[in-house]
Amino acid sequence: MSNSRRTMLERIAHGLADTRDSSSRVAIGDRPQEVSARLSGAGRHTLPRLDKDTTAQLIRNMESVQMSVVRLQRMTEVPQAVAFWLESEGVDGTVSVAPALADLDWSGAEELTWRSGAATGDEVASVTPCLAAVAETGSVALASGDRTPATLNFLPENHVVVVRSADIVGHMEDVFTRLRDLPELPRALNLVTGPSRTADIEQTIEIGAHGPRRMHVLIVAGD
Amino acid sequence: MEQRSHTFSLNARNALLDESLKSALGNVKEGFIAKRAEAVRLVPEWERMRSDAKALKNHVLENLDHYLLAYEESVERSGGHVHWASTSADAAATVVDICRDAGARIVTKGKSMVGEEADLNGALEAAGMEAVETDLGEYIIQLAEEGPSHIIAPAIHKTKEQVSDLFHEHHAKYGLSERLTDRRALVNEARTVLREKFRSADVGITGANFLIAETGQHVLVTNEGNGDLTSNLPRVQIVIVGIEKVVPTLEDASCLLRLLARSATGQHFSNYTSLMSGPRRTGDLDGPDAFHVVLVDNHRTDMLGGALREMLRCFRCGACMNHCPVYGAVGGHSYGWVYPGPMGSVITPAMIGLENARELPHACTLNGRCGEVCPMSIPLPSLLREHRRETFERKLQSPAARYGLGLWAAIAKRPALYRLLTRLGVSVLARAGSSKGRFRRLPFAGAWTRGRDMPVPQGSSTFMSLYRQQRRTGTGQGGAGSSS
Repeated sequence: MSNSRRTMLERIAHGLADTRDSSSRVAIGDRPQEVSARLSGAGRHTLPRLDKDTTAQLIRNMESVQMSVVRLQRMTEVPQAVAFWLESEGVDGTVSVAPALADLDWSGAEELTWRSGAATGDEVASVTPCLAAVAETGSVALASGDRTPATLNFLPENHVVVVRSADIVGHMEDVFTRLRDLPELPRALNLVTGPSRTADIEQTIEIGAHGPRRMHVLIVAGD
Repeated sequence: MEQRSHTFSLNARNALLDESLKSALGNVKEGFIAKRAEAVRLVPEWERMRSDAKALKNHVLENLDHYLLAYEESVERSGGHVHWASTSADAAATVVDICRDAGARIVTKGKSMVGEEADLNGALEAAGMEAVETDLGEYIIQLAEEGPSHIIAPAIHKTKEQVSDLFHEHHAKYGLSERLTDRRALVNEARTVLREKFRSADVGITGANFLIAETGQHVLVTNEGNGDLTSNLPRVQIVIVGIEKVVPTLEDASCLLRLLARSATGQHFSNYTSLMSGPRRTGDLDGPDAFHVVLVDNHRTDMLGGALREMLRCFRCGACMNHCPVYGAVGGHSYGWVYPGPMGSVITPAMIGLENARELPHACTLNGRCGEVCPMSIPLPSLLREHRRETFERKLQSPAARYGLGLWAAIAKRPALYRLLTRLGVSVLARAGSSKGRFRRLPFAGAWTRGRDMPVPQGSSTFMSLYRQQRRTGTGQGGAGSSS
């Protein structure tokens, strides 16, 4: 439909002809200075005010959308904390761990069967790290990559996210700064804010529509 | 989608007699309206955010070609393909071609209103493919063979009992034998059936809430996670989207995201907000092998050049219909096409022709609530009036209505004559109805008296005569006439 492309661009130019001042009436492909500046500017709009204690705000917002939160001191405590939570939820089966977290001592956690890789759909839970957690919204920002496959965020019934304290940010815009600092733009950046839900039957919320039914967050203070 | 907008009055009359519809629409008021009000109250910066968003979208629309080209460049940089579709038929044909080239048998879909404009399901099925809607609401209406009745809650017109009946009828082939009545059981049943579809789909199609020119990402917002399963699992990913959805940068997308969820469902943020671009990267363990985006015009460029340009700021939150008394009484199907409520009454005539939707701009009491709650500050009542003006100008109404309006206009332009006639009318009515105090029937006012009685005027004064009298005697309070 290469014809459509030309037709549409012509129609847009025609539609704007009356209101465009002559200085910006330039040939297509010839990008006006104002547009180029805007594209590279990353200018922020009005931001909502944050609480003084962003960690407390993050936890409050997460809990308000049915994510449970536990605070840990060290990364080495993560496997046992995952095992403990799964047991308390009565969940038994294989856990898929993001390759980025596979170096932790998973075999040391009692009664935990685990594997590393993308989701297969047969696991009962997944464990993933995150690029950041956003206090403003209570979201975890999950960037896809060879060590963080995106399917782990959606297929399993239970999802555990490991948030390092240093990765807690205030606004969504702070995630974007981190995103731009990555060596390559990840295929997917998923801002996840609580377990999957639907209100499509009589406007009444039900948890666990298509994605995870339960989400658990481990905030880790140190290394 | 079949067009029934030209019979709005008839559709609305039938809808008013539908008891289950009335019960289902009751949920709009208790759900959306109260939740939005609370969500907005919690953000002191709300009005500043609204004006940022308006300025942002106006800037984008003034440079729409440049931002679309920048977006195209960025998508290609990430390994994706951009297709342009100037009509909804082009859009459907483009999508079908991509699916056919991919050898698709099963196609999963996230909710897309642009997909509804193009009747994508019909086109895919005609090409021999199974198209499966995965948003629960869309899935329900797909089983019912209906269109959406709300842009974010497509099955809002259905009661739980009706959903139960639909699953009982259509899920027997998946082994469902008992009748499910519990809401949770119904959601689980859909989850189980659709999980298999997600896993076996060859192509996944979704819409997009925003396109980011800077990065080539599209933003997809859902609460169920169905959009992400649709995007991540199949071999081929397709996004179908209107050209007005492009924004310059990530920061512009977040500016709009802050308004979207609050205005739509009253959430401070939706559960899943995903920014995606291109196919899987080298080394990635999952994600599609190919990524396509179809940019759809379908009369949007006509709107750009005319009085309706402001309507292109719309990001489809649904707040206008949630707050519309007409929508709340007659439901979305009465509007007869893809988009219902105030935004639908503005967009539908632009997309299918005013002559096919001439009653829609009149499905409005001009109470103004839609314009007040619109997060993008679209002057919906003025745009509806613009359509009304054009309806009159193009002589699209019935001759009786046209001559009636013409006659009224001729009189209203002559104040002395207007006052004389209203005084005359009032005194005739007062005398004719003096014994009963109300009229049960009145000539030329059947539409009024069918539903309620008309009170008899008290005395023979009109507003203007009372006003003048009070100015003379100085009994009026304040206002232009006070002498202080």
